[in-house]
Amino acid sequence: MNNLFHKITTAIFAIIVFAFWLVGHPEALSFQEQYQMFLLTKGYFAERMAVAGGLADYVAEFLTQMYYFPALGAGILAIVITLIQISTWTLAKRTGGKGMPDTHYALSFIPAIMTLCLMGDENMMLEFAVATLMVLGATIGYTYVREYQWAVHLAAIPLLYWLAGPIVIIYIIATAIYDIRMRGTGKAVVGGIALGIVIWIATMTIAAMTWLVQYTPTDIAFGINYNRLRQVVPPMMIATEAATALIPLVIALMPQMKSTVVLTVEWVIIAIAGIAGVEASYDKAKYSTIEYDYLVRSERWDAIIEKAKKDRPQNDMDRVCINLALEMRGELLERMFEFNQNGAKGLLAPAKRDQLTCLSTAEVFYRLGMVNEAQKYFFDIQESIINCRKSSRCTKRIIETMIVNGRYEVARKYIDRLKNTMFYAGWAKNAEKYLYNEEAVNTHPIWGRMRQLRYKNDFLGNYYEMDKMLGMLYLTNTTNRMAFEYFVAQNLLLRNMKGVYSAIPWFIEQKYAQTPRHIEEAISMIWSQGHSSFDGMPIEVSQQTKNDLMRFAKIYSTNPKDRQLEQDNWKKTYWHYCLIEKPRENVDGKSGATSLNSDEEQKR
Amino acid sequence: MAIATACTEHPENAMKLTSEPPIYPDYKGVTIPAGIAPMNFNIDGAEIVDVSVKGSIVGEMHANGEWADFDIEEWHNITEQNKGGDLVFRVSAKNDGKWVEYADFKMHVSNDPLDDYGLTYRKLAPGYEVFSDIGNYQRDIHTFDEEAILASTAVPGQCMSCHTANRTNPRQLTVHLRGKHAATLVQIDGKRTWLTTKTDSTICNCMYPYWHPSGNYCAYSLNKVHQSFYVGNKRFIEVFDDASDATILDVRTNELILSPLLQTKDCETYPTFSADGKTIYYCTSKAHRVPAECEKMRYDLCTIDFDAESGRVGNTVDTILKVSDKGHSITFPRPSYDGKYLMYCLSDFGYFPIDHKESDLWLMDLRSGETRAIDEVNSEDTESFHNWSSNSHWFVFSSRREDGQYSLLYIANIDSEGNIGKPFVMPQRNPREYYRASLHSYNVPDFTLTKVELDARAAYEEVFSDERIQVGIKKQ
Repeated sequence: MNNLFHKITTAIFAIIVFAFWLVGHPEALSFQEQYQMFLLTKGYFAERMAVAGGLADYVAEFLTQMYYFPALGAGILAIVITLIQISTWTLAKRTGGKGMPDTHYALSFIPAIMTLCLMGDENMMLEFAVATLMVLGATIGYTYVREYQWAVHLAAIPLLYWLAGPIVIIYIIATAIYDIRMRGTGKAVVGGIALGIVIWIATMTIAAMTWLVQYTPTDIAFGINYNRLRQVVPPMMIATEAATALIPLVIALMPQMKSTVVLTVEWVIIAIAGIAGVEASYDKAKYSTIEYDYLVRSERWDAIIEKAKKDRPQNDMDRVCINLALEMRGELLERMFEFNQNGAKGLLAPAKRDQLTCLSTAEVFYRLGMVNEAQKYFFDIQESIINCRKSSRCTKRIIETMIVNGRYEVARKYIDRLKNTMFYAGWAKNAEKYLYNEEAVNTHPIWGRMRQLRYKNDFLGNYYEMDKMLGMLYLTNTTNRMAFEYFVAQNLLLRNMKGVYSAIPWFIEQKYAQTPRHIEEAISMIWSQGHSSFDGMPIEVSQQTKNDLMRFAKIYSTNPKDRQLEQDNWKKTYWHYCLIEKPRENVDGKSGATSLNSDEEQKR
Repeated sequence: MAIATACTEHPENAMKLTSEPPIYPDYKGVTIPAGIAPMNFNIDGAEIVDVSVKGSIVGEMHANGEWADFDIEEWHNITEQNKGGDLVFRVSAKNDGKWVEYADFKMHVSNDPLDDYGLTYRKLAPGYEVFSDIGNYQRDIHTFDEEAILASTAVPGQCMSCHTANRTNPRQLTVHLRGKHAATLVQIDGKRTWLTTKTDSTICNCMYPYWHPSGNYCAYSLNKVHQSFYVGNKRFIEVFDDASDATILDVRTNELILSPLLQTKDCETYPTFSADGKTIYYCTSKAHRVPAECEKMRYDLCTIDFDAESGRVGNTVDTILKVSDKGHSITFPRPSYDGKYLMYCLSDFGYFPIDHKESDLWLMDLRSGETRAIDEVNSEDTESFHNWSSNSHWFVFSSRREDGQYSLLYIANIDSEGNIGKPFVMPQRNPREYYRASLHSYNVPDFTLTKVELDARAAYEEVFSDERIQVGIKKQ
C-alpha cells in the first residue's frame, strides 16, 4: 500500500514540477536556454571537462538546450527534480537499513523542493541539480560496497570532485553517516571517514595548485559553474547541500508513525513550506521582466500588450518590450501613453553591461534596420553573459547583421558554430546558402529589407542623440514607418516639441488613414500654445481631441495638481505625461562615447 | 609522425595538377625559423591529406591524415637541418574518393634563429564595450602549448591590459587592471608591487607601457580613452582620447617623472624608449573636439631625450616624422632592440588603428632615416600592434586579414640586410578547426624570452585586498 502511495505522491510531485515550469515559468526556460550554446563537438566537451564539475556542467548544458521546446524542458526538469527526491528516499532506505519505517516519505521531498527553490535564482545553473544527482547516485552505489571502502573513496572522491564539483561533500558526509550507521564506529570506519576527508582536502589543494590555478579559492571550494555569478555562494545552495546530505539520516532516524493525523500534518507542512518556499524564491518583478523578453523573443505581441494591461511595467526594459509590441501592432503612437512611460530609455535603452536589460532594445534596433546598433547590442549582450558562455539567440542575430552588412567570412565563422548545435543547425545551414550570394540576400524578406533600411552614410552614433539618429534613419528610407514612429515617440518621450513638430511633413508623407491619437494630442497642444483657435492646424485633429485638450487645459490651468487629472482618461494622454509627470532624464550635451578608463578613475 | 588512426590511405593513381594546393593557412612561400612549431595545414573539403616534405639541404618527412599534422620532433629536426634552405612540400589530397597531387610549394627556413620561448598576448572577443572572457596568455612557439598568465577567471570582474615585459624579458613586467579594483602591477624578479598611478598632477592611471632598457624606468601614456561606434558599414569603432599625456615611472622609487613637454595641451601617447635608452619616441596630435572631430586627430612621431642617470627628460622635442599634414597618423612606434629600425602603424587618423582597415605597418631605418611601407607583410585589412623578437630578426604583429573582424598573430623575418620574408600566422595543431572555432582576437602580442611566471592566486588576493602604493611625483 505504502509503495503505491509513494509512487502516486512522487508522480503527483513530478506533474506539479512539470506544470510549474511549463505553465508557470516557461519564460525561465527560455531565459536559461538563451544564455548558452551547447556544441556537439569534441572541443566543447574537452573545454567543459577541463574544470572541476565539468561532466555535470556538460550534461546540464546538454539538457538545457532542450528548453528550446518548453514542454521538453519542463519534462526534463520534472525528471531531474523528481530523481533527486527518489534518490533521497533510496539513500534514506539504505542508511536506515531493513527495519526502517517507511512512513516518513514526505521528508524525502525536502532536498528536491529546496533545489526547486534554489533554481528561482535565475543565475543558478542546472549543473547544481545534475551534480546533486551524480553524488547521490555515487553515494547509493557506495552503500552496496562490502569491502575496501577506503579504496572506493580513494577513487570516487577525486573523480566526483572533477566530474560533479565541490558538491562531492554530500558524498563524503552521506557515506560517513552510512558507515557509522551500518558498520559502527570501529577503527576501520573512522579511518575510512578520515581518509575520505584527507582525500577531499588533498584533491582540492592539488586542483588549486595545478589545473585550477587560474580560478579563485571560492570557485574551488564552492563550484565554478553552479552559479553564473561565480564569486557568489548563495546560502540557499549551502543549505540545499546540507539537506541533501542529512535528510536521509533524518528519515532513517525517524520512528515508525502509525497516526495518520501526524503523517498528514507532516505532508501538509512539507507542502505548505514547499509552496511558500517556491513562492518566495521566484522574484515576481524579475520574472515578469524575463517574461516580457520571452514574449518578445517569441514575437507574441498581443500577449505583451495583454500582460502590460495587468502588470504595470516596472522598468525600462518592460517598457521597451511594450512599446515594441505596440509598434508591431501599429498602435505605438495611438496607445503608448496608456502604459506608464518614463522617458526615452523605455523606448530604446542605452547599452548596459548586463545580459538581459538590453535584449529587447537590440530587437528593436534589428527591426528598425539599425543594423550596426543591433549587432553591437547583441554582441555586448553575449559578452555580458556572466559565466562567459555564448548565446545561440544572440549569435543568430549577429549572423543576420553580418550577412546584411556583407561580412560573410565572419558570418561563416558563427554559422559554423551554430551548425554544431542541435536546434539551430537547420537555420544555420540555410543561412549559409546566403553567403556571398548578394542577390539572395537582397531578395530575402528580412535581410533584403534591412539592407534597404540601413544607414547609407557613416557617422559616429550617439545614444543621447537618438532622435537625430532615428530621423536620419527615416530619411535614408522613407518607407521605414517604424523609424518615423520611433522618431516621433522618442521626441514625445523627451518632451521635445520642436522635434515632434518637425515630423509633420514626414507624417503627411506617411499617409495615415487616421491621425494617431498621441500625434493629435502633441500637435494640438503645441498649436494651442501659440494660437487662440484650432483653425489652420497643419494636420487634421479630431474634434474629440480638441475638446479633450480644452477640458484638460481648463483643469490644469486652474490647478495643475487637481486630482481629476489623475483619472484614467487623462493619465493615458500625452498631455498628462508631458505636463504632469516629472522629466527624469537630461541628455543634453552628452557625447554618447563610452569611457574606457576604470570606474575609479571616472569618479575622480 | 602523427597519423590520424582512421586515415592511413596513401595516394594512388593521383591526378597531377599544375596548381599549388589550396592550403589553410596560406603557408606557401613563408619564411620560418628553425624550431618553430609544426606548420600544420588543412585543405578544405579533403578527406585525406598526404604530405611529403623534403629539405633542400637534407632530410625528409611525411604526414598523412585528415590534415597535415607533422610530428614535432621530426619537424624540428628537418627545420634545423635546413637552415638557410627550403622545405619542399608535395601535397596530395583525396576529394570525393579521388586523389589529386598538387604542384610543390616551398617554405624558406631562415638562418636567423628565433630562440625566444614564445609569444605573449591578450585574448579577448573582438567586441564593442564588453569583454567577458579576457586574459593574458603565453604560447610556446616551438610547440602548441598555450597557458594563461592571468585570466579573468583568476581576477573576476577585472578588465586587464596586456602584460608588457622589458625587451621580451619577463623578469620585469607590468600589467594594468581596470575595474573596481583597478591597479597597475609592476613585477620585478617575482616581487609584485600594486600601484595606484593616478595622481593630482596627472589626468588618469598609467596605460600603454614601455620599459627602459636599464629596467629602472617604465614609460606610460596617460589616456582619457573613449570609444564611439559608427552606424554605417565602413568602420565599426573609433577609440579616441579626450586628453592624453606621457610620463615615466621610476620603478625604484615609484615616482612619476613629469615633464611639461610631455604634458602639453596637445595629445601625447605611446612613449617608447630607443634601444640605447637615450631617446623617447612618442606620438603627438593637436587636440580636437571629440568625438565630433576625431577624424582630425592625426599623430606625428616625435622624440625627446632621456637621461637615465638623472632620470631627466630633455628640453627639446623633435618631430622626426610628420604625417598629419599628409592626412595620416602614426601610432605604436616600436624601435628594434638592435637599434636599426623603428616600426610603426600608419593609418588615416586616430591613435587606435585596430579598427582601421587602412592601417599598415611601416619601417623606418634609423640609420638612414628612410621609411617605407612593409608591403611584404601588409594586407588589404588592418595590420596593427607589432613587437620585436629579442634578437630583432623577427617581428610579430596582429592582422585582421583573415575575416576583417578577428585579429590573428603573424610572424615575419627581417634578415641582416633588411629583407623581410612572407609572414605566417601562428601555427596551430589543427589550424582550420582552431581558428574557425576561436572567438578570440589576439591583442598586443610580444615575444617573451622565457616563460612568464606570475602567481595568479597571489595576484587574486592582492588585487582584491585593494592594498596599493600611491605613486609620487618627481617634477622637472
